[in-house]
Parts: sequence; structure tokens; C-alpha cells
Amino acid sequence: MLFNINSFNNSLNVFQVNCCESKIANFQKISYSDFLGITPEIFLGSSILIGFILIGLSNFAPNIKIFEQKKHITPVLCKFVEISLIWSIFIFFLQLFFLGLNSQFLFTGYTIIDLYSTVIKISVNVTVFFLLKLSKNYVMKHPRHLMEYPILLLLLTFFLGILVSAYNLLTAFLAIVGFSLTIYVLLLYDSFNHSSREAGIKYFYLSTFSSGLIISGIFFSYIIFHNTNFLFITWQLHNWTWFNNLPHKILLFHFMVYFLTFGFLFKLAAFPCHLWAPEIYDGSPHPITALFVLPIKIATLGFFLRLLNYTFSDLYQSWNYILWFSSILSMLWGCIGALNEARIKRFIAYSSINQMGFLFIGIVCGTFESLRATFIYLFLYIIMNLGFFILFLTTKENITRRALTYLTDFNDYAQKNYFYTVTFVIILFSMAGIPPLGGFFGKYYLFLHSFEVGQFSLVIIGMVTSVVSTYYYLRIIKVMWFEKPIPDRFIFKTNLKGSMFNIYILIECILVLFFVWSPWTFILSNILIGVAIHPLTSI
Amino acid sequence: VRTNYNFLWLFFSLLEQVIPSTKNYDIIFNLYDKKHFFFFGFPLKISFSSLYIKIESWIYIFNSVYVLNDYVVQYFKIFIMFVLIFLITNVMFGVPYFFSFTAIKEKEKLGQYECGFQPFDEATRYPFDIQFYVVGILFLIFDVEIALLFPWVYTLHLLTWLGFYVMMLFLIILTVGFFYEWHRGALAWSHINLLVTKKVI
Repeated sequence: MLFNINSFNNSLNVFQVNCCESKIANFQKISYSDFLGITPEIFLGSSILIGFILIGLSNFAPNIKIFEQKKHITPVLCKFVEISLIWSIFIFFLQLFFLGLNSQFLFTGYTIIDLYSTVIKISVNVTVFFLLKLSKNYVMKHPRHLMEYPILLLLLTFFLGILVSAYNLLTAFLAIVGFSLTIYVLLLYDSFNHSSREAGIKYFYLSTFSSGLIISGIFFSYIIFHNTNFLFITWQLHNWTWFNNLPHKILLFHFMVYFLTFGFLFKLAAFPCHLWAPEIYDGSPHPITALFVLPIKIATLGFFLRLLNYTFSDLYQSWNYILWFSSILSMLWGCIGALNEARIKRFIAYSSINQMGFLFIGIVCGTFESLRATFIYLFLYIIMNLGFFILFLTTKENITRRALTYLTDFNDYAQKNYFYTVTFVIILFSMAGIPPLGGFFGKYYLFLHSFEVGQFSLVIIGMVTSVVSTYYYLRIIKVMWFEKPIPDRFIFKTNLKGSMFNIYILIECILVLFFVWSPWTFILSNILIGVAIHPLTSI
Repeated sequence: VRTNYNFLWLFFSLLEQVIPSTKNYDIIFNLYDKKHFFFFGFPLKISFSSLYIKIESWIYIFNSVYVLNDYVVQYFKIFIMFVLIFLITNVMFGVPYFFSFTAIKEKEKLGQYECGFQPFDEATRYPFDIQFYVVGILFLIFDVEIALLFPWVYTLHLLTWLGFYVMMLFLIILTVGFFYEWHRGALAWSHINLLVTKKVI
């Protein structure tokens, strides 16, 4: 006789079940089409297993001689991984062709493949491919010769692909844990270096804390919905009634959204959870900072956008103001922090925090056009940072092969590598937002569409910070071109061998110059928003 | 005067968790009916977007607090478990403290490890053979594997081809990992010291 509110039915009523049935029919059983949908992942996973077997076979007899054999096996492994990445990109393009604008649920609704997820997976795989090519020399020359490095990169791309195509919070958590584990290993690559070891341990603790935040958000979602599937959550939130028993749990909604957003803000290094970024970027080895800046941020932002704008689109007002504060303060923090920074990688960290603030502007405004602007800026972010890292990772001292650490190491850089410096200048100008380049137009669209909505504070602070940030981007250019060389200093020179790297850099320049001018960017980003991000289109 | 019996409801519901039969309280339960609990008229369906903006939003939040009490009721047994755990552990560690004054103090009894392994200098902040950790991790992985295999074996006659081959895939991945560890020299005890002396690692 005890009156219990939870005695109401927690499940869907008949009408809702009938409406969902057409889609949930996919959720009933696993068929061969599910395995056809994950062909690239199967390909990547099997190549990971083969790579580990190759490493094992190279060490068949535990002798001292194996350490001489290491140097023979790593280029083979690098080549193997490059080929598998190229083939997986090819299969992704085939998937794009066959899938079109349709979306398909795989494995009883735990994952989804659609245009949005495949495009982001392609961008992740392309960045990992370039970074592997760039860091091959680093691996070969390093005294501690870790031959698992290319295989670990493959594992990272594998888990990031799962994260992007996740359609269930538990799948996403699995992917987050997977790529975090690979990153812990890669951060401790240079574990005899004190700062690197410190960075590895710090990232380990902080990342486990943020993963704990995310899993507690999932826990709250299970309390509320008795489910973690995105379709179920969207449906329940969209049909908000007393019979769903949802209005009673309104405080729990807040907890769920806060825990999930702050967990992901940590992974993205945005304002309230950004303090780890400069120290860990600075301490970690050079190729691994590039991994932090590019593929991990792309994939987590891709998933985060889907989570916020698709599943929690009806909870707009509970995550909106968090991202508003986050965008403003991360823009300001990144701007002010980089002003007096002497070390390059700390500088990169602050500039990436600043750019993450710019990316959040479009999510806060929440209109179709502003989300399109974020996508354009995301693609520009990838292009600009990839170009920066192509030149930064290949620059070494002529004699000791030391990599760049301080901004003053760019002294007299232009005299040694004239054409590469020109590309560097183009990339830095577009980061600062000088008009004819892509970065200007990315910021322009963001400000325009936030102005239309009425978010004047975001526009003003964004403009002020972009004006101030030109100072520290121009400072590097000044150091490159106009500073006098310090006497008794080794010469820094780019180590770009072969014609392929020159072609990559030329492609970079062309993309930075003309990316925004082509109509295909707008068409692609329109489709991305329309297919995946706009709420309840696929129901 | 309108009396609010909501707190009474909470009290008796808590009582119900402790005492199995609350049939005697039925008369009292009739005093606080559903209409007292929903002391405002509610719409059947509300638009979510207007929920945070309008003034009436405090009503929902105010009522949801009472519903959170319902969660307290649900998890009250777990709370009791926590209290019992706290008490039992304190008793288990506290009682021997009073009876252990006359105990015989030997070196083996006071040692950290029962495996026969002598600590170098102290238990903490001094070098410890990493091989113990490696073997421990290996043991943990294969222990978890067995824990997953037992229910699979028990329900094998119910499974389809998918259920069979998923476990096969899991076993293949595990064997590849084991192969890698074995041939990388993680299980070899004698070679580690050799490598350390040669300064390879």
C-alpha cells in the first residue's frame, strides 16, 4: 500500500514502442551486415595483432642480440602500419560511397556508421599517418628504441574510430579507456628523461580522474533512463511526460550533464580543466604532443558534438552556459598565457586552448550556421596544426640532432630554410587570422553567426583575444626573419627528405589559402550537421 | 489547517525497510494520500524548454526533492551495509589490539611478505623486483579470462555461432598478447639481471 512514485512504469508505453519499433528492429539481433560495417576496424585490428606477432617473432630467443635486431624490424613495422592506414582510409572512402546519407546501427545499437563518423575517422587516420611518417626518425634515433611505437599508434586510431562511431555511452567509455592506455605508454616513451616521466605520471592520474567523471555521468544516465543508448535517451528526453517518471529526476539530469561535460572538457583541454595541458605538452616527447593536439582532440570533439547536439539537445539549457563560460575563459586564458611564454610546446598548448575556445563559440550559439562554422574551423584547426607540426617535428640541429625547445631557437631560421619559413609564416598568419587566409574566414563565420544569435560577449571577447594573439604569432615570425643569430649556436635546419614532404607542404599551403573559398567545404559541413548533429532527424 | 504528512510518509517507508510487516500502518497511510503529495495540480505533459525559464519551475524542483527521498528509501539497505561494514572492520581491527600485548614477536611474523621473499631495506620507497608486478598482472589477466569463460561454458548450448566465435576471438587476442609477452622476455627471470648489468635497459 505504500505509495511509491517509482511504481509507475519506467519503460516506454505502447505508443512510444510502436514509434520506435521501426528503428529498434535493427537492435534485435546481430547479422553479417554488422561485420560488413566494421571492415576498416577489422582490418586495423587484425593488422595490430599481426604487428604484435611480428615483434614477438623478432625476439624469439631472449638474447642480447635482439637489441641489434630491433633496428631492422622497426622500419618494416612502420611501413606495414603506413600501408594498413592507407588501406583503412581507402575502405572509409568506399564506405562513404556506399553509405551516402544513410546511417546504420551496428551490433544492436552500440555503434553507428554514418557520413559524420566516417569523415572524422578519415581525418584522424590521415593525421596519424602524417605523424607516423614524421616521427619515424625520432623513433630510430632515440637511444631507447621502442619498436611498439607504430603498433601503438594503430591501436590509438582504432580506439579513436570506435569513440567517433559510438552510439552508446558505454562504447564511448570503452574507447576512451582504450586510447588513454595507449597514451600512457606513449607518454612514458622517454621515461629516462625526468620531465617526460613527470608528465606521464601526471597525465595518468588526471586522466583517470576525468574518466571517473565520465563513468559517473554514465552512472547517472543509467539511474535516470535505465539505459545508455543514445536513441533511447533522445526519445525519452523528447517525450517528456509524468508517465516516463522523468520530471522527478530533474536534479539527476544536472549531475549527468555536468559530469559528462567536465570529463570531456578535460580531454579537450578547455577552460576549467585545462591546467594539465601546458606542462604535459612540454614534458612529453615531440611526436606525442602532436598526437595530443591533433587526432585525440578531433575524435573527442567529434563525439562531444554528437553527444551534446544530438542526444542532449533537449537538455540544451543545462550544458549551454557551461560551454559559454568555458569558451570565454579558455579564449582569455590561452591568449594571456601564451604572451610571455618562452618554450615552444607550452606556447602550442596555450594556442590550442585558445582555439578550443573559438571552436566552442559555434556550439554555444547552437544554430545550424554556427555549427557549420565550427566544422569549418575544426577542419582549419587540423590543417594549420598539422602544417605547424610537419615543420616543427622535422627541425633539428645539424650536429647534435637536438630538437627545438625554446622560441629563440627559431633565430635566423629563415636564412637556412627560406621556402619552409614562407609556409611557416602562412600557417602562423592563418592561426592569427590575417584576412586572405583560411583562419580569418573561420573566425569570421564564427563571429558572424554568433552575432546573429545575439551572443555579443562571445564576439567581443573573441575579437579582442584574436587581436592580442596576433602579437605572439607575429613574435615567432619576427624571431625567424629579423633576429640576429646568437654566436656559438648550432644551426637549426629542417630534415625534410624526399619530394613527398615538399608536396605535403605545398598541399598544406594550398589548403590554408583556398580551403574556405571552395563551395565543397560548406556543402560537406552542411551535410555533416544535417545528417548527424541536428537532433531527431534520424528517428 | 492543512497539515503536511510528507515527512511521515518518509518515516514509515523507512520503517518498512527495517520491519518487514507494515500492514498495521495502513490506516495511517491513508492520511497522506497521493493528492497531498502532489499538492499542486500538474499538467500531464510539459514542454522541457520552458522548464528552467518560468517562475513555476521551483515547484518541480521542490517536488523532486521529495522524490529523491524515495531514492534514499531504495538504497537504505546499502546504507545499513556500509554502517555494518564500518562497525565490523573496526571491531576486527580494534579487538586484537587489546589482546596482542603478550604476543610473540618474531622476524618472520613481522615481515611484509609471506612468500619467503625478504624485503631489501624497507617496504616502501626502495627498489623492488619488477618481475613480481609483471607476473601479478599476467595472473590477473588470465584469472579474468577464466571468470569470463565459466559462464560461457555453462550456457554454450544456448548460444549461436556468434556467441561461440566472439569468445574464440577473445581467446585469440589473449594468446597473441601472451605470445608477445613471452617472446619479449617478460617471463624470463634470469635475463633481466643480465640486461641491467649490460646497461641495455
